[in-house]
Amino acid sequence: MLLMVNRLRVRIPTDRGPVCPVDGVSFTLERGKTLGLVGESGCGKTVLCRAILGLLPKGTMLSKDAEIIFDGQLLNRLPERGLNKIRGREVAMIFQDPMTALNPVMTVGRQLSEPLVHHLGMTAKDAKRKATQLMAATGIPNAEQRARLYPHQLSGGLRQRIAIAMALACEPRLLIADEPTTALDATIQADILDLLSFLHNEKRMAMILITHDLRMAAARTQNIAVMYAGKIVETATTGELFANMRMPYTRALFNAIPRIGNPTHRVLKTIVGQPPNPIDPPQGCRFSPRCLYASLKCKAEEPPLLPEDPLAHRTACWHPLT
Amino acid sequence: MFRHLIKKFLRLLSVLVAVTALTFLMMDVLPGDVAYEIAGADATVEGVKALREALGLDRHIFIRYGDWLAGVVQGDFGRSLLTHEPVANAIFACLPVTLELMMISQILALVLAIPIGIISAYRSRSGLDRAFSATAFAFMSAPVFVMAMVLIYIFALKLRWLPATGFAPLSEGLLANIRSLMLPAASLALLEWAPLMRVLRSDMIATLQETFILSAKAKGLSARKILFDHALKPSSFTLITILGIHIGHLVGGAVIVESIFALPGIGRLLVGAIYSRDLNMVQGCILLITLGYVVVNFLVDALYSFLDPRVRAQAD
Repeated sequence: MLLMVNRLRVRIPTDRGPVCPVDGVSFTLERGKTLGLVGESGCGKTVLCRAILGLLPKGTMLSKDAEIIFDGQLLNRLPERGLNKIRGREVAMIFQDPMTALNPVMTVGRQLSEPLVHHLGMTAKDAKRKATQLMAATGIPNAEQRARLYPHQLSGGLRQRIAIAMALACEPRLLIADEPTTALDATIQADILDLLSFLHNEKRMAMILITHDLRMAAARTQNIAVMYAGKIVETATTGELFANMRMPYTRALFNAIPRIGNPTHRVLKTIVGQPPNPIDPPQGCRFSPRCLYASLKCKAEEPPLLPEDPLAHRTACWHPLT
Repeated sequence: MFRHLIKKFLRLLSVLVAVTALTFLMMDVLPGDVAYEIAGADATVEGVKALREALGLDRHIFIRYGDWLAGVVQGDFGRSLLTHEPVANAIFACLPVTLELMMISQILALVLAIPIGIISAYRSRSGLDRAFSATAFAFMSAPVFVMAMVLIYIFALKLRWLPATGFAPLSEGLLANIRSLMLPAASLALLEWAPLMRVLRSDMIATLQETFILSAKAKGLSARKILFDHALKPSSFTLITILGIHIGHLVGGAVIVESIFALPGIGRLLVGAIYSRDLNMVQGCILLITLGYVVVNFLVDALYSFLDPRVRAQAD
């Protein structure tokens, strides 16, 4: 097992009291596999991924019994210095918006050589050459000239390719891609995802693909975990999940995707209501206020994620579908 | 780009004319003139009158200003009314002292401001940050002459490390030269660093919230690398703006500091000239100071595009 996350709870103090954007999450990821982390915005996907690399803001607390085990190392007990050997080297990250994720006052070539010099001890000259190669490998034409440009001189698609090249520079064993295509034009989204799949296969690295788009996760992941209000509510292999959705929330998320085959002007089946207030989450099942199947038990008692077997199709629901 | 430069140059010219015309006017409004100074205490009214005529001081102010301006355009800054020494010579003799003083004081101020600003931003709201802030406010509120006196007392009188007053030119050796400027430069720097540190700190705090800092952290870079390589450059805009604006401030400080420490610089030359109503000398000094101020702020503008390539794109 490459990554094991156990009982992770993240507490962030705010002016209106503490919130837990991630509230008791456990999952595993095998070497070379891809996990899709799916959910609405604000469900805790991003916080969960930043917690893995210890990139949460100051003052954030993890639960005492939480474990983030990467390749046998307990990351959440590692000092900063130790984490810095993992970040960018073993575990790399791609951010949602490539404009803000690149330093605007540094050439992209220099930003790309940084991890090479830092982790692999390359000389500046070698790193520069390697950076150009990396850019070319992510499908950037005229890489040598483009390396001398600043982020604002490149298009969104090219910037995200740079970010991908930067993340893959040291050939990490795990790549965390936090909505890597959300900020891009629809025409470029598929290109970027294809590039990620290609590199993922070629380098045989594991990947966590964060997205709010179930359809996108369908084609490019082996496993999917659906998150709602800080908890994983359903997880299974991708094929099993799509064949057999048990949690009403997953079904609702799936139904909310517009389909080309639909007759025109058909009303989208969006999910009624709003995601719960993180400061004061609802009692029982957190989806129950918005769920069509909710019973009194749902509102009173929180359903556990069952069965225990991490490889099984697991659901946290009192009234699973089918 | 070329039109941009011409526009800048025209603006520079208008500033120079406006400032020199105003000082000319103010010197004229001040009671007393250089003729009394030359003639001495026991001069007769007729003697002073004759002197004024000889110096051309009885002509209308517009004519005198025009006269002076015409000279300047031809590169002639006139002669001191008091000593008949050419103004340009006097200024060039004093300029290196003041330039050196300013340079050393700016370097000292930045050496204090940049590391302290960075540490305060990185550890913002910690005890250390609060302590630095309190110190900065204390220094900001102390007048320059108090600072100078305190420094003289500590480093010249008590510790006897540095000379209290006087200037050692470069011909006496670099060390002696820098030692003689250390206390005056420090008096200016100790006033300067605090606002510089404060603006760097607040800009830096904002920069550290940016996603690109997070992505630099995700690369595994050390805090030192992130602060200096990634955060410092985009955080220093206000810092260099203040640095440029402070040049004017600094000239005012130099006048006081040069007088206290008996340094033969432009500040002291200017004060002497104002006391003796040596109009040509005053005009020469003011012209130079204004020019310096405008040139420095022009350089600050140029620095923006060095710091941020996006500014470069707009200018083209």
